[in-house]
Amino acid sequence: MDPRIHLYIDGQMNEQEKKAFEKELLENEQLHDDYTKMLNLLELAREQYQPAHAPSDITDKIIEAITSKQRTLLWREISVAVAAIILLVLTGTGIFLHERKESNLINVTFRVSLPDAKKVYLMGNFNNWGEKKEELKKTGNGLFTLTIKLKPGVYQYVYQIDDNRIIPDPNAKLYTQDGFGQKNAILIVKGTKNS
Amino acid sequence: MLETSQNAHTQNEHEIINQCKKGNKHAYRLLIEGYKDLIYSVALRFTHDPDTAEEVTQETFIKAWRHIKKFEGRSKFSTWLIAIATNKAKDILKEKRKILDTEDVDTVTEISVEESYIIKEPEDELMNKELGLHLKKLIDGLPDIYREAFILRHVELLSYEEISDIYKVSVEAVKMRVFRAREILKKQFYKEK
Repeated sequence: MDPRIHLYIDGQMNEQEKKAFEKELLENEQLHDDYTKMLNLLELAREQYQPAHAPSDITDKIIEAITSKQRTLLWREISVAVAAIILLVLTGTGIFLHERKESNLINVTFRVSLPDAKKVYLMGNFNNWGEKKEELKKTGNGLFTLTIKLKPGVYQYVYQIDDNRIIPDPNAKLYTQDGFGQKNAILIVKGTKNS
Repeated sequence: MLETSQNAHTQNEHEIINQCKKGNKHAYRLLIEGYKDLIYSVALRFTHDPDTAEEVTQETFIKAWRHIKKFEGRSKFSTWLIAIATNKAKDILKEKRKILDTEDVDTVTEISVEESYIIKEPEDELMNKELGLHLKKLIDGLPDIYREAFILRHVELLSYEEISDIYKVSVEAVKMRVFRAREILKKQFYKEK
């Protein structure tokens, strides 16, 4: 099939190409036949898929699930956590700077070099994805740093840059897909046995 | 006039999304009401099963809620939702059945269509309804990456750019998929050699 048919159907020809193609459509029987067949096919295809209507109670179900923190999602987070812990055990690596334990909380320092950034915020599932605004402090040479206290556990996080761009921590050693084609960094906070 | 109306809609939606980011579930209810049929339709096209489509729709909105703070407005909200829905549909289908891995385009050239559905002169042998069903069967038999791109383009009427946003592939790659789907369907539908 002549590839120009695709371009014509999609309206991706310039005026000159369009005129030449339309002229040829009138003269070239094969081209005309292919074009007509394709148009008919696309129209018939569209007719086969009438808009469907979601069940009427679906909104209530979703709101209810959100409110009760649906179990499926909890299991997903647990599975990510378990996978990360297994990986950590297997590789024997710790990835963050954990300092002295105060009761149940561990000091965790986030450091990232972003020379072009004016402001950098921390967003993770430990602060409800930025609900509590936590800004990293600029310390010079484009380095941003922030120390917060977290309980031992496995977390996901990203950095928000200048109120618009969001990136996973480029220094993280573990990542997970966020389901939108992007990645979240994984943070593992280990408890300390002594102190 | 249409443009003004569209701008007003976008502005309004932007405000609703901001409310959702602050945790306002009443605002989110408005978004669900506005997009539930679209997402359910997309889910149904991809899963062919009303129960699975409902599950995909619910999971999509639940996930969107949990991550709404990460929605930056670089694409349309509907495109963002469809991206989540297509991923969810794939995840759920993978759990329910083993599906052909269609990531490698080059390995997928054969289309599975029952011989009985191959017709020589469709306009003479079958009525329009039957022709439509036959075509739908052919669409369903396309490899996933072609079928999904074709449906998003020609049924949901998304632009190539929007589909490219959904699958995180180039616009050219999306065009290739749609063009290929059209050609396969034309060849099969009209029994061309």
